[in-house]
Amino acid sequence: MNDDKTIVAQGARPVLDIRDFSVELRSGKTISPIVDKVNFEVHEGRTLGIVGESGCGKSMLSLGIMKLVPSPPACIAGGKVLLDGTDLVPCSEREMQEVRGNRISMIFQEPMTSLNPVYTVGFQIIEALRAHSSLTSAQARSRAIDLLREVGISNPEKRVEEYPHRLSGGMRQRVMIAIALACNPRVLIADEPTTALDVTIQAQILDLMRSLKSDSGTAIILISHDLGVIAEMADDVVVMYAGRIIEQAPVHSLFAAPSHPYTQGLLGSMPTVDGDQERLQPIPGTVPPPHDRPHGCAFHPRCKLSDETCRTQRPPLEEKISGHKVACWHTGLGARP
Amino acid sequence: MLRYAVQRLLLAIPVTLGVLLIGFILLNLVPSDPATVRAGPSASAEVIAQIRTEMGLDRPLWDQFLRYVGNVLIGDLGTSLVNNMPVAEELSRAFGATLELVVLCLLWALPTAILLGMFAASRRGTLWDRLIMGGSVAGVSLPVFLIGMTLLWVFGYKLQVLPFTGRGGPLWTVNGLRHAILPSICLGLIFIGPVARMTRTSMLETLKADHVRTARAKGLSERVVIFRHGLRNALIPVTTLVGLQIGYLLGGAIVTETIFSWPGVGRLAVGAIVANDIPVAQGAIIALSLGFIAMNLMVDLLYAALDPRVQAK
Amino acid sequence: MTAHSSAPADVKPGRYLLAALGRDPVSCISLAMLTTLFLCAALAPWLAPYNPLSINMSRVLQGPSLDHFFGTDGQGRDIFSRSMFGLRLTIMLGFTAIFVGGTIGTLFGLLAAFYPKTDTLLMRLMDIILSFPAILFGLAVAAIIGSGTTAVIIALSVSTTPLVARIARGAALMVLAQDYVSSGRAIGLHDWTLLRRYVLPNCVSTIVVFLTLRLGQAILLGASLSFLGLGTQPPTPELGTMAAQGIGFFFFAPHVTLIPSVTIFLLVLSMNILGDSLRDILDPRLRS
Repeated sequence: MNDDKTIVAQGARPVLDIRDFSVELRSGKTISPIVDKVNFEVHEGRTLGIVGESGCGKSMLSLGIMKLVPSPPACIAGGKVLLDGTDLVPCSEREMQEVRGNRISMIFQEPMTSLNPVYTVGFQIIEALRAHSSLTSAQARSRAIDLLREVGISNPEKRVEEYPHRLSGGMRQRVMIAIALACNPRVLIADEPTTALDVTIQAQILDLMRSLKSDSGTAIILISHDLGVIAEMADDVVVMYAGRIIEQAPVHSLFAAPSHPYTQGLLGSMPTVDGDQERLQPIPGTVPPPHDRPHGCAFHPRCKLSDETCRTQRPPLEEKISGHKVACWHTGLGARP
Repeated sequence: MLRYAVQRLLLAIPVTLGVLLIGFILLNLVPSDPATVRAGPSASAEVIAQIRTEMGLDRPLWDQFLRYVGNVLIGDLGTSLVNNMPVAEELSRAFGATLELVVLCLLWALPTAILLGMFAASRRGTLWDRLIMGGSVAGVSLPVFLIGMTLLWVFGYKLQVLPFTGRGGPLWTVNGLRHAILPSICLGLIFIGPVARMTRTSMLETLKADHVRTARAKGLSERVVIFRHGLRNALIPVTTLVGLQIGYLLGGAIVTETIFSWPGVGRLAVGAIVANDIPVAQGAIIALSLGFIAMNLMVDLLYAALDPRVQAK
Repeated sequence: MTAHSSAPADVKPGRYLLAALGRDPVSCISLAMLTTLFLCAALAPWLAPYNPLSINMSRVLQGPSLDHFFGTDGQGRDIFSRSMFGLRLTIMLGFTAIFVGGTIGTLFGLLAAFYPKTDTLLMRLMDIILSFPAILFGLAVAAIIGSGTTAVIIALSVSTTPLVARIARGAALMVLAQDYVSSGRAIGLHDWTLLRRYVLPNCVSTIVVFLTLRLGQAILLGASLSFLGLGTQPPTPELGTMAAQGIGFFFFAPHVTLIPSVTIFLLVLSMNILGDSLRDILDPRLRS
């Protein structure tokens, strides 16, 4: 037995278990995978961080779990999404409505536009509450006020009647969190929840999410391109590139020993406080678009280590050391010196 | 909301005064002398002068204007040069008829246009969508009288199912309603095209918005998402457009009333202008302007009711 | 962003436009229809088989035939010839009003943008005019100067002016924010030269596209006023007036009213379709 965290992870059934999950973009006859056979688990009371540059499929993955991918052109192409053991992929739209906002909820990147400008904050929380419970409107209202208080909004009795345009970005994101937590979800998916906010507000929102997690035991999937946020919040990390997972590890292991050249590059392009790096190392090039992914390892055109194998064969995601998986011919399990 | 409404109402007062001023200038710009018209062709110069004094036409202009505003305020708009009837009396009767026509038209045309627009949006790119959008372009290109005459010929003359001249009594009577059907269809048809088009664009735009995604993520049913979070927001720009269309609606109403002999303000105005009956023409134009201002005011209030962000400004 | 079109600079604008229109079959048909109608109007004095004013009481209200393609009206006049002349007048009416309103409006808009002191005054005035629908101007002008073609042209021009002024002001403000205007100022160009050489050419496409869209509406409105008897007076052939003249015998000779009405419809329809395409190609900003 290693440390206690691993025991938790191995002992209980995961709240959310994603297996071979794929999302495709179909336009005319061309089919391009945006999320390609992704596997991971999320456990109660723990946070999974998903990292990657924009365009790597993080957001599509999160919308895919909710079965909210914009369809057409996108659609779920296969795999399983097991929520407490039940697969959501074959569920009907009606059944999904029961799940959304109730057992899995979501908060988004743009707090300024994610709330409907024509309804009061209270109405939008009550709406979520009443969609999944038989509360009377008076009960729902008082629950909404409680929720606003829980997410740290002062004077909630008054705020409940406000329209979103009267609130700041940070306040709106708090309201979004209140909506997401309204029905005590099993899983909270937070898609870049702090990207659009000022740094101080960012820290407050992250604090709020952390305390909520420890209070309620909700599992969190935190999607971010900001490694700082991930390092601070996540227990386990998944690194995605071009729709695939290329590295998967507990947070300490990942930051201590990043194995994939891409992860190394991401860390290299992040400024550090102790500054033993002379200069930031940007990764050359950009994420290839879904319809134009290279053969073999998708990262090879940007990789310093790439050789003939990388160009022709896709590396499998394999466990390198306990709990740390990586998909690379050079630094992975079967890595040649 | 109440404060906003009062504010808007106060703003309408100077505009109304402006309308009265324009109406007054109108009367004075007319080359023919009302006293001469009133006195008849065979009147002597003395009689005409006497009538001029009676009508106050020899006073300074500003005095005449103040008297005129005062008279309008107590409901005295003068008398018709043709039949000597008080203008206010004729107007109040005609105003009711026009209001009836416009309200009936909006009652069927607005929901139809919005539904068509939503339908086209939900079937974007299909044949239905193209048909509705093509129809909308055709609709704005049709002269009102072509619509009116076609309706009249098909339903009034060929099929003989509906009456097509005049008003048949109040709307709540069968006869009254039957008489109002063809004119209100005619008026509504010019209105549907642009509104349907705007609804479609606005709906497609709204359904892409982030807050619609939030609504879906809450687990609301698709119907609630589309109506509560889509349509409700999409109606805001549609309201603006409806406000801009009121002028066309008014023009359409004037032509429609003429075709179907509907005894409204528009027909009264046209008849009076052709007959050179200036007091009636002036009164009718003022009434139409005030009606226009009132409808714009209502659209503004509706807009504010639909969009809470407006009142904040 | 400039107020200029999105056309690539190296292609001649005319050819670029035609090529873009050619890709859409509906636009092609509209263009063909509009060209035909314009040719008919322009060549009416030479093409028309009859004198549009000559009365022939022995041939009243005839249906379409080889002698009279569109039949004859209540006074035995040839509707085909009258329609050609009517089309001519209707189009001229619309163009005159658009030209007058467009010119004054552009002038006002540019002045307001260029001299901020005049801005409030001019634009307030425009707002007041804008707050009255065009049809009311038609009624008022007809009441003051009497019914007639002039009344229609005045009403249409007046109601077009504030719309153009707004658009021209917006476009000009955007151009004035560009660096090359400041450099023009810096080398000491006279205001008037600056306006004529820098600002106006860069606003023109926006204004022209708007006027194209407005032309159809102006024609419809003019025809409506004539139909009401407030515009062109008989016997002068104008499509709206002609339609009104047929009302008396509408039930037994509907073609007298329908032919001029449908002609207006086709004219305005092709203008609207082309106007929409033009807007999409030249000036996506106007779309709302």
